[in-house]
Amino acid sequence: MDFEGERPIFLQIADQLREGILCGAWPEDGQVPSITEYAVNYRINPATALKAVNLLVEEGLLYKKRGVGMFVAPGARQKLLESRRQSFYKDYVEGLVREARNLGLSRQELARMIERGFEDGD
Amino acid sequence: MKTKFGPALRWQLREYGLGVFTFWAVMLALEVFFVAVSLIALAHGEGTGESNFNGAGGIAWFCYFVLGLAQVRADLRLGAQFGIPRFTMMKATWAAALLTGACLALALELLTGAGQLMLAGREGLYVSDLYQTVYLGEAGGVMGLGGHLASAAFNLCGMLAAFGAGAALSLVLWLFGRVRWVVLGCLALPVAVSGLIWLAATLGVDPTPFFLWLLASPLNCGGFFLAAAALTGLAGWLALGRVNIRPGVV
Amino acid sequence: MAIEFEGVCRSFGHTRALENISLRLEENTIYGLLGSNGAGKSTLLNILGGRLLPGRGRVTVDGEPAGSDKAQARVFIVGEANLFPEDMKVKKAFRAARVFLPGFEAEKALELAKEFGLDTRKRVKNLSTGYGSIFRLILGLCCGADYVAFDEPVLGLDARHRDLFYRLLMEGYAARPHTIILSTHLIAEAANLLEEAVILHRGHLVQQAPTESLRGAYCSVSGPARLMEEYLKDKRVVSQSAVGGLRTACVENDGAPLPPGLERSPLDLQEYFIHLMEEKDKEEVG
Repeated sequence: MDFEGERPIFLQIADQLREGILCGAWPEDGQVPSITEYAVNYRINPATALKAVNLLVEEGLLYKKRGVGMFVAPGARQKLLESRRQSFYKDYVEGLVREARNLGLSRQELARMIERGFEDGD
Repeated sequence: MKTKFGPALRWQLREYGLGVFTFWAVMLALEVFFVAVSLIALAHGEGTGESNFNGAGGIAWFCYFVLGLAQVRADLRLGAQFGIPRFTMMKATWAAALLTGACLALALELLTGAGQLMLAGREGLYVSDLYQTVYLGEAGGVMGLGGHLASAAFNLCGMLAAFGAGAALSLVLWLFGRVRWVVLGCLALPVAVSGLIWLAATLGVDPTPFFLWLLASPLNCGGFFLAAAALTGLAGWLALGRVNIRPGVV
Repeated sequence: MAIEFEGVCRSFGHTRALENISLRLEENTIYGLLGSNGAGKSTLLNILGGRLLPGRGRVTVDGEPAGSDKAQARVFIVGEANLFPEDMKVKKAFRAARVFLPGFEAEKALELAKEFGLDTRKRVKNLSTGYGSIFRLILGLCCGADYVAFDEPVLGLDARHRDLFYRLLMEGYAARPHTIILSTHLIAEAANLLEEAVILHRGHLVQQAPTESLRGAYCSVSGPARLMEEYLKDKRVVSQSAVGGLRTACVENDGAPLPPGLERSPLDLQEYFIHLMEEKDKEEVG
C-alpha cells in the first residue's frame, strides 16, 4: 500500500482485493476484510475503503451480507481470469513482441524462450 | 438548565461534603481530646477546673469563608472544561454550600450537645458555642433541643455570609486578574474595616448601637448574616457575568 | 443535523481572527481543519464550543445556538486549554467526566490510559506536554459526543503514540459514527483519515473540499522558463516560483501528456496546502 504515490488509495485496495481473489487467498463465498478493518489497520477513512468495495461489487466480484460483511461472489475468480486473459495480450504480448523485434529476435527464438520459461517454472 | 444542574450539584455535594466531613471529624477529635483530658484531670484533682471548648461554629464560619475563596473558582473552571454554563455551576455551588452547611450545623450541635451532657454539672468545665454564649448567657448549661436548633440556624447564617464573602471576593479578584490587584484585594477587607472605623470616628457616629442591636437578639444577627449572604451573593453573581474563566493559578 | 457557521466574524482588539466564515459540517464525517499558525482554527473551535461568542454572525449545532445547553451536550472540544483544578488527579478527572458528560465511557478511558502508559494517579497539572495531550485526547475519544473536535491533539507525542491515536480514532469512528474535526499541522499523517478538508487562511475560509478531490488533483510542473510560460498560458495556476532559469508551478492535474522538456510530479494534500498558503500569502502582500 503506497500512501504517498499518485494512485488513489481506494484503487490500490481494489487491486489488492482482486489479486487476493485471483490467487485464492479470498475463496468464493468467503469473507473479505471489513471496511472497519481496512480503516483501522491502514489508518484511512472508511469511506475510502467503502469506495473500493463498492467498485468490486459493481464488477460483480463481491456481494454484501447484511449485518455480517462483504463476501466473494461465486464465479468471481473466473470473471477475473477472463478479464485478465482479455487484457493479457495488450498488457504483456504486445510489448513483448515489440521489444523482441527491436532486439532482432526471430519468431522461433522467442518461442524457444517461452518454452524455456515454462520448463524453468516447473 | 435542568440537564446540567443535576450532575453539577451531585459533584459539588460530594466535593463540599467531603471537606465538611473532614472538618467535622477534626472538631470531633478535638472535642473528645478536650473532654477526656478534662475529665481525667478532674479525677486526679488537678487543674483549676476552669476550661472550655467553645466556638466550633465560629471556626466553621471561617471554614466556609475559605471554601468560598478557594473552591468556587475551581468549580467554575471545571464547569467550563465540561461545557457547563457558569451560572448553572454557580447555582449548584450555592445549593451545595447551603445543604452541606445545614448538615454541618446540625452535626456540630450533636458534638456540642454530647459534650454538654458528658460534662453536666461540673462547674467551670463546659462545651458551648457562640449562640449559647452570646444570646442565652448561660455558657455551660445543657441546652434544650430548641436551643440547639436555634444555634444550628444561627451558625448556618454565619456560614452562608462567610461563604458569600469568600466567593464574592474570589470572583471580584478574578475580574481584575493581575497579581497586584490580587494583593490589593486581599488588603481590601482590613482597609475597608479600618476605613469605616475611622469614618465613624471622624463623623462622630457611634457604631456601638449597631453592635448592641446585633447582640440584642439572634434574629437580628442572623438576619444581618443572611442579608450579607444575599448581598455578597449578588456581587459575586454580577462579577460572574464579566469574568474571563482562564486556566492558571489566579 | 449539522453544524452551521453563518457569516461569523470575531476580533480580538485590532486583530481580526475570523472574517465572514460560512460553512457547514455534516454529521458522521471526518473533517480536517487546516491552516497556518494564526489562521483562526482555535478561535473557530472555541466559538463552536461556546467558550467565545462570535462578534457577528451565528453558529448553530443541530439548529441550537452554540453555547446553549443543548448544543453543549452534542459538542466536545479537545483543546490546549486546561481548566482542571490544580491538584486534580487524572483518575478524578475521569470521574468528573463521567458525572458531567452523559455519554462518557469511563472504562474505555482507563483502558486507553493503560495503553498509552498514562499514570492516572498523576495530577493533571503535572503531566508533561506529551502526556497532557494524551490525557486530553483520551477524553475526546471517550466523550461520546456527536461532534468531537481535536485541536492539535498530537502535540508532543512520539511516532508510536501518534499512530496509536489515529488507530483508536478510526476504531471509535467505526464503532460509533460521529463527526470528528481534526485540527492539525501534521497534514501528511492525517490526510488519509480525512473525508473533507476545511482550509483557513488569516481568518478567511479559503477552501472546503473532499480530500479525495484534492489528493493528486494538483501537481507540480517544472521546466525551463520559456516552455513553462507557453504551457501555463491557459492553465489555472495555484502558485509558482522560479529559481534561475527553472520555473515550477502548481497546477491542476489534468493528466494530459506534457510537452517535452517539462516534468510533472503529483502533490499530496500537505504539499498542495503549502503551495496554496504561499499563494494566499503573496496575494495578501501584493
